[in-house]
Amino acid sequence: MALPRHLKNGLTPLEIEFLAENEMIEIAAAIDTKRNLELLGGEVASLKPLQVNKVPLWMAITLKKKQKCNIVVPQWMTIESLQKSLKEEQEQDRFSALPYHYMETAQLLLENACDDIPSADAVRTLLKDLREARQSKARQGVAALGLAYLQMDNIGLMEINEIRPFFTKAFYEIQKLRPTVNANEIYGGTQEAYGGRFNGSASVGSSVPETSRFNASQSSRN
Amino acid sequence: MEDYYGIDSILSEDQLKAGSRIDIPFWMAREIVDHPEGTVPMDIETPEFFGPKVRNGLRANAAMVDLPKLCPSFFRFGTHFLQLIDDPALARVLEEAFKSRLQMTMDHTQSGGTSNSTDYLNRLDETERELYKAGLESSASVHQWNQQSFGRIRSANEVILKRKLGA
Repeated sequence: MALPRHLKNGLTPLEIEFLAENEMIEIAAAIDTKRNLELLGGEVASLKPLQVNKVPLWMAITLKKKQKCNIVVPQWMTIESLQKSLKEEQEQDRFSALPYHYMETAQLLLENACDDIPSADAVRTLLKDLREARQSKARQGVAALGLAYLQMDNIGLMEINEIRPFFTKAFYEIQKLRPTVNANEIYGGTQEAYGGRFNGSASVGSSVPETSRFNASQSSRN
Repeated sequence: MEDYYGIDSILSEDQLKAGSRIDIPFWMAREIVDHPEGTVPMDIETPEFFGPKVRNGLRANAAMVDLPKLCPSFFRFGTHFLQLIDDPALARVLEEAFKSRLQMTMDHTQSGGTSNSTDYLNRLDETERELYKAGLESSASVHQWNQQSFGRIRSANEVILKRKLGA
């Protein structure tokens, strides 16, 4: 394909941000729309002042810019919750449970609705620490590369998109470096022998939505 | 007349004696091995850069081995070579080395090409360099997004330049 290289490997950060804008978020509206809002993507219940309304993030930001609402900070983005997540991140091998679009949502909120976030600077710092902790965890996933697949539960879309080009390429190269595996597969297999060695620090049991799993299925060269 | 391009005839013109050693290009070795008649009896020697010295070096500290000095496309050649020769020990050494170097490479993609990584980058072979580029690009784009330096409408560089020049 004649696409430039940075577009070949999945989505760009801006595209991901666009996807994240479809997530629902709670706002305290300052206007009364009187009726439900019919949009292409579905209906949004009518906005009423003095009560919590659920709207897509993009609408919340648009209203916020016109000063027609206040955005209610999501539970996971409060200081206490972030501190908990950070602690979990540092103590456990697995990724802590954050929303699939946490980076994008946080970025958009911090940029557009800074005044609605209590102690926004602390939130910003915590998010940065979280991101760094998670990045180093993703890096450890490299060590587990090369087997059937690599499971990283709870990883965000932005994060997975960031490591995808590197990981898929590396995975492919490792596959090429082991001709013996392919030979074994032909003769009915030492699957367990290879499956058993898979013990990535990034791998944990699955209780997460399918979308947040990173499965690079084994490429067959036969 | 004999087939001019036939491998057998080329080799016979060299008048090889049994037991003599010659350097031939890898592709030729592969052609000879895969030859449908399989008439040329020969052993393929393992090149020096896959020899015990390098293997030990890779086992000891894979990140310090200067691969381009040994062979610019070390791992790529390794995969080809392993298809020709059955050497599980070599396969294992290469795979382990590749993996341990991979982690270093990824670290460097995230530190964003600072000066102390050039030393390391010079030791990467072609495959790893491609990987490094891919990783660097994607982490740079996320970084850029984080800094909000794109997504904004700005004057084109040419316009700014023109303004500076006072035209």
